[in-house]
Amino acid sequence: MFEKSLYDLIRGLRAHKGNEKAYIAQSLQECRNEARSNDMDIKCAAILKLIYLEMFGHSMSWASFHVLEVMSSQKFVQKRVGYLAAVQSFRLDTDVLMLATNLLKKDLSSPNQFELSLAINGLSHIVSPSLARDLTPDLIAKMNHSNPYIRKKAVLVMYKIFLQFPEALRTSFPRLRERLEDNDETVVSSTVNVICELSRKNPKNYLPLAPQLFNLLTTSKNNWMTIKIIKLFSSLTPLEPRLVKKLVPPISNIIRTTSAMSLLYECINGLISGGLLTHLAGTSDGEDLATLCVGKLRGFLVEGDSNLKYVALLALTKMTKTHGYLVAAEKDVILECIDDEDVSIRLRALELVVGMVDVEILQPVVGRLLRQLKPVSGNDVETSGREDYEDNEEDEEVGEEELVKRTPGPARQAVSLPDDYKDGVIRRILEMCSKDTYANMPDFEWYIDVLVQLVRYCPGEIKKSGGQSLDDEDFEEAYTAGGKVDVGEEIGRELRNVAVRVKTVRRHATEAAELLVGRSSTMFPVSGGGGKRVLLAAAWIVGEYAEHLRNPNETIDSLLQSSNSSLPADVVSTYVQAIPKVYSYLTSNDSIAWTPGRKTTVSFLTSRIVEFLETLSSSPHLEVQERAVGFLEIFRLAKEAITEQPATTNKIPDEDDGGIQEEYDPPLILTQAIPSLFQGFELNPVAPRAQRKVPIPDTLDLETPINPQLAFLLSSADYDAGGGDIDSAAAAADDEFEKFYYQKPVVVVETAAQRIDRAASNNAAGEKHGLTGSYQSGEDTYLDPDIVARRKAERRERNKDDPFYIGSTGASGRTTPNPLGGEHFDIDSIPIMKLDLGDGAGLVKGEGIVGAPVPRVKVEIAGDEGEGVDDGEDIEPVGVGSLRIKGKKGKGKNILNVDSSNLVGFSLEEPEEDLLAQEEDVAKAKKEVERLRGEIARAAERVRVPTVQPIVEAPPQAQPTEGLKKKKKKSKAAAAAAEEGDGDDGEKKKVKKKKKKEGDQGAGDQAESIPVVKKKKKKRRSSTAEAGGAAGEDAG
Amino acid sequence: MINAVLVFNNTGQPRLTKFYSQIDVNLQQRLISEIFTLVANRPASACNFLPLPPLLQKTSSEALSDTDQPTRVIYRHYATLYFIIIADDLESELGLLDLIQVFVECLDRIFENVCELDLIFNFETLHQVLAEMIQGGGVVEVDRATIVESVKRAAKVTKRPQASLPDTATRSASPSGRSTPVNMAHRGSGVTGIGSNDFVWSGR
Repeated sequence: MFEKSLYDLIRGLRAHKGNEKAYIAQSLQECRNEARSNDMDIKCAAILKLIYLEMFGHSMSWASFHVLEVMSSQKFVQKRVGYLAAVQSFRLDTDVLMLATNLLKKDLSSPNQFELSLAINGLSHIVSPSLARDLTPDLIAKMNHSNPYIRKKAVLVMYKIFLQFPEALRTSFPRLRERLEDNDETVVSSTVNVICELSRKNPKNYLPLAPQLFNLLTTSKNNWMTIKIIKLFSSLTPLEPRLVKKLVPPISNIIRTTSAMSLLYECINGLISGGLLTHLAGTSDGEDLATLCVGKLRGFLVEGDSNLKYVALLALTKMTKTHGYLVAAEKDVILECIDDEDVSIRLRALELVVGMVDVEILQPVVGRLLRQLKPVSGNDVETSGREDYEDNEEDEEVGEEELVKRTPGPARQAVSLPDDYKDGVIRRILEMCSKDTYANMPDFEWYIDVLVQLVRYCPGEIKKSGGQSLDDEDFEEAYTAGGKVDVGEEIGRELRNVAVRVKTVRRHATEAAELLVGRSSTMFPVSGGGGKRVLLAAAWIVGEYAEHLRNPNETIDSLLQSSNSSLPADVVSTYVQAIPKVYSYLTSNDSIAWTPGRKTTVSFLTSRIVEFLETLSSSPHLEVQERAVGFLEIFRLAKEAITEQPATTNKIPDEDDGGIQEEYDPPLILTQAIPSLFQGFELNPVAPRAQRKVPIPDTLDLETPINPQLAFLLSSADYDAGGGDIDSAAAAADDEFEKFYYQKPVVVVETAAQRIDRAASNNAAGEKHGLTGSYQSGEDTYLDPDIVARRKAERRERNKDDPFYIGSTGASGRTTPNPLGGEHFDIDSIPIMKLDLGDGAGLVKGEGIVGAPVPRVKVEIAGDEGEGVDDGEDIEPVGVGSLRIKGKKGKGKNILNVDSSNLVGFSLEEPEEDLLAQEEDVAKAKKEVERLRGEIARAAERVRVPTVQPIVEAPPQAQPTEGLKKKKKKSKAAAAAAEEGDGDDGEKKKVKKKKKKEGDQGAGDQAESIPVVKKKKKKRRSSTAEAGGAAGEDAG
Repeated sequence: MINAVLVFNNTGQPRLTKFYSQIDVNLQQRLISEIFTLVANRPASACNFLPLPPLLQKTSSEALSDTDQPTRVIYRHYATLYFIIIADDLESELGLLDLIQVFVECLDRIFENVCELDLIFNFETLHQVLAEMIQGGGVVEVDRATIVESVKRAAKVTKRPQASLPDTATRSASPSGRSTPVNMAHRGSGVTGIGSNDFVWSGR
């Protein structure tokens, strides 16, 4: 029989390109057979091939017993293959693991340093709690091995032991501590490594080592170790503030002198994450140190190496919390990173910038980001003849120009950005703009325009990897995981926030919302595309602030479009709510004469609403349905009232009639009833936790059932419906219910072509207004032309009465339609210049260098109600509790996670009360684990006891190739012998003989040997007595 | 702790997978392909730090409760091969970059002008070199000479003819694969390259 070697396998793989699957399947089958071979060489080759194939995802867990056989080979080459296979394929639940104890014990006592290191390395991968417990003494001994090569590995493997068997930490800690003084540097380095890992779990234990570690820090020349020591100290310093003073000189010395960037960075990082800078903040030492760090980090940023840039941004982000002003001083280099061609650097920079924005740089930063988001399009050509506009640009643009040296775009924009990056950028923009209740917002009108612009840049809905077949739990998790709300909704929320909080721009915000609602069909095609959920807030604003609408008639038209019913359910339900509000605004004015014309208009509008709501009243979404049905009734009443109310005729009052003129008021339902539904207190922002401050009234009784007979009624209703009908009806209802609550709405992905179409139509819309933007200056480069045009028009309008502002309308010879529009022109919208002397004084002495500072409109931003009372103290327990539960749930999910829970809070001191005092429920769970562990241990014990004897007795040279199989037989025999207590020698010989026979047969006929092996395995698990008896039978 | 060391080529074929936490084989493959998609799309000038692949991304709750999460994926690209290290935040990013460099240099010393083919046919040796450097997720040795020395001495113990290093037999046996030598000039700064005369087989 011809066996392939690994070499042949690889060559074969390469030869069978395109047909690898079949070849691999065939090879796996061959390996299966070869692994059962009695020839150790063949077995070993098969295992080696299996390891290779495992790399490509072909599990070799079935071969674990053969692996164990190869591991126990006498030849180092084979042993090494065996260990490699074990390392790659064994898991904690691999059942042969408990058979490995003795093998490892033996290899750990090997005189050959390579075998020894093989065993240690193997153990570091496959260690289980029982292995850890059984082998701890051997490993502790190895920590004092004469060869540093062994010592360093023995020390390092101890961490893995501790993870599985924390008790070992107590017994071995003195040894571990000694290794810190080892004369071999790598051993010390390993020790530091282990202590560093340990101290993250429970730093308290390792405080006594501080002097030794400090000594190492000052004397070591090994950068690797120094990095670890610094990491270690940064977990110790929070516990021992006195360390800070001691550490600062050596660390700052390293920062000044080292040439190794990694060490330099880790020093700075250690200073930050160890809280050293925080601790020293305010003192001159601390300031010097911080300045030094920031200086070095600036060097990283300037250097041009992208890796250094990346880490520097990471470190600076952490520093903003304590030394924001120092970081802010470096904003020139940091802002450059926002436009870096590397997306990961951009994201880091963005994160950093969010933390450091202030009034001055907010606009330029957002401008940069918007420019990034701007889709790459070919027609970025400048339109000439718009120059005159630019000359008249306001100061803010000029200021912006100087701050932001825009680099020529095309090269940068050529990179198409991934959707999740866009998504992230939009979120960041919102975050930095809304920070501290808009503390940094210089201009809210600008912000609203930015928001509208952002809606257009929204990436399409991000598809979850699982596609549309997500079940409800996944869906929920995916959504709640990062607290992720759709970006569109997020933008909408901002828009609403501004509209509610900032009264002065409420009109502007409402107009923006109007625009969004009005254009919804073109901007958010049914086929998907992002940002649609902004309508949720837009519709609300439109309804709530209907009095600010530019054109309420058109708005209600667009609210009533029949295509709206295909919007997401929650959006539709806000639409349903908004419609009566706008309607009420339109119709409630009783000063407008109730003429026949008016009557027709109103009645027509009412009919349309009734019609629209009728279609929704059978909506499968409960919320939509409920609201629609409710309002439907009201509007039907209204319709009735309108038809019944005669109109005032247009006839001129006739003198002859004695001055009697029949005048009719609009129906009361329009002027009184419907408006009263929506009038009341003004809505103010409320702090998220305000509700909790409201005391629960004593009389509130949530226990008593409202209808004590409810259960009976329900059951009788079920019964009444009766028959076969009920099932299908209920099932149908269930389906709808299921569909609504548990299924993700089907996402139709917009194709590229559609997207382009939409973009084109958007452009066309802009063009139609006769307003093409120029791409020359500030806002134009990131806001879409139509928004820019609107802004300009508004600005002109605002400056119309300003004698110092030279209007451009005349000069350019263009007429722009008055955006505020004909009859609904509102005199209040013309801003009245307020002369603020305080501001003026500031301007006079202010820095003329930067250009005029951004004129900050003084706006009143409404804070959260109830904020003052809210101390936020009670937020903690709830949050933590829920987090805990979640964390537990998620634990299994994270795949590379190392379970170190054993070590968390593990104390070096004797446990007793300390451990017991900890959470009781944890103790309960532990008990269960303990019990199981005990069982495993006992099982292992059973295996181990009988094996000890024969190893001592059996001559090692006897048939080495027989390997483990043989040994096991022997052990059983021995056990049997021990039980029976007689015929020791005779029994064993018999066994040997039998074995030989078997071996001979097996060599020729593999198939026969399989059941033998299997049988043995089974027996091994049974109790000693049984095994002994069985073996006795075997032998007999 | 280092959580995993991976090596795969430009087409995503794994050449070395070493996980220091026990995870299922299928998950391993998924992780490799996720990282490959991340890494393959990066421009040459981008930094060597990858965002976490979806499999490793943590939910916000875990971020607070657990510190043992892998937080960094670091890669280096040499000619046809990507070297990846996944680690948590007790390891230094820049240090790990150097570690990859050490690894590659050691391989280069052992195979004399290492190329992808060497790694394919001597993947056992590849594992040994790695085991001399990283044991159970902890860095055990970073000195190039010591690592190379240990591997070579262990190889002598084996006395297996085909394991003699460098494996000239393998190389001469497949001359076709080495038709297009590629200069193994790696990018990145701070650390010196392996040498100018490194040639590499262009891929399988």
